[in-house]
Amino acid sequence: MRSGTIRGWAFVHKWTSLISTAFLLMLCITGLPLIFHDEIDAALNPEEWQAANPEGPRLTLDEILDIALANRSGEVPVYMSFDTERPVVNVTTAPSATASVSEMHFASFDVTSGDLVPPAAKGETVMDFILRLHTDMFLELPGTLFLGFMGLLLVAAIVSGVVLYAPFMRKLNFGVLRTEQSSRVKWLDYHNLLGIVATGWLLVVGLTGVINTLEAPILDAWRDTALADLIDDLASDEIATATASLDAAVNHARTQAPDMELQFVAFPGTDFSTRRHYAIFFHGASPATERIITPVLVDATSGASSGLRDMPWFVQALSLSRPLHFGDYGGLLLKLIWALLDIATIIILGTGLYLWVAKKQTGSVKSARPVAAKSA
Amino acid sequence: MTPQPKTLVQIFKWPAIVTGLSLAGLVLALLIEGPADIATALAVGAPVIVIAWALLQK
Repeated sequence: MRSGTIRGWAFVHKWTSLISTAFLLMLCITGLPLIFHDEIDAALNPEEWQAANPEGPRLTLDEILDIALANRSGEVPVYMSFDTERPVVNVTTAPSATASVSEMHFASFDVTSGDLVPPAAKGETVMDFILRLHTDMFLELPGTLFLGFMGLLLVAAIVSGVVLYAPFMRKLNFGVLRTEQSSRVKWLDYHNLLGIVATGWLLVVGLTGVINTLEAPILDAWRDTALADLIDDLASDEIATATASLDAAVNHARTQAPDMELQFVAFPGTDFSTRRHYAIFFHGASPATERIITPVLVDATSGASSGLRDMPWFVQALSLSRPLHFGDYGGLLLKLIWALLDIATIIILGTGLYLWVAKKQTGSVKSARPVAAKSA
Repeated sequence: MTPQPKTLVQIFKWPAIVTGLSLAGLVLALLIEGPADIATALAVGAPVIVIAWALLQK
């Protein structure tokens, strides 16, 4: 490789890394507890809850919805989701369908009695704080998109790092760590080894992180294209009041997706629906399809169905990006390995910063030497 | 004696194998469940295994 080419890639590597390092360190540190979110929740909140009437009849979804709204006067339903292990339905409400996540209220209900299920409250505030810091730094969409840009810089730093690995390793064996030499050489070897072996994982986590930051624009594009034929004649700021039976809508939707499992309902006006429809989402039943969601759209005023709508590729990519970014899809061993790779990334960032500082100091000493020699 | 400069294939052979294993593990962990989870997690963890090997070598 010519020296000019190497200098060009070194320039890309230096500046993409320097600009993004502080934010990437924050993402790695906040990402660490998020990997074990479920385990931390379970440890802090041991399960003691029992359904009121485990063998008794179940309330309808309309009844649960009425109870949820009675508890949250003046709010509208945003999402309803279904616990897979307990007879529990979760209802998210907000002051309006277009409210931000921070304004939403999440409550769980026992479907055998309608009673509120006590939330897993211990540690929730801390984990919510960490999640918000990790996803948008409390700046909503601008913060999310900014972190997405940092993710793109990470990808550029990884690619340039792989290119630069070759000239460094021309005379060295793979995996060599020259710990007996200077600190700079030692940490350079650690930086190169950790960076090159973690390249695949880092690229996947980086790219899926970027895709996750594009959730809002991706969902906008989905509504504007795949649901274009359902865009109605409501005024631009008008959201239909849901009057059709939710139970009837969900039961009808089940007949449209007989081999799939119910995941959640998005109410009219939310990111996951139109301004007129219940969007009833199902996911596949096999490991390969369980992360692919597909909605049935049902008119929330007339109850008329628009059938099953396959998601376009870019929404499917978003669905797959979430598990591939957080590493919460393959059991505890995968989570532990995810955490070790996360720590490796922190070391890569730290050593990169150290190497830059050490190189600058060496440069200052070299440029000061002739001056000192002259004056002597 | 100065060692011969390595070719690109020699330089990137092991990194490519580790990256391939890691990526295969990431995808397979999405597609299969059960006891195979351990094998896919270990494949994802190929970089960790290599780092441990390098630390033991020094």
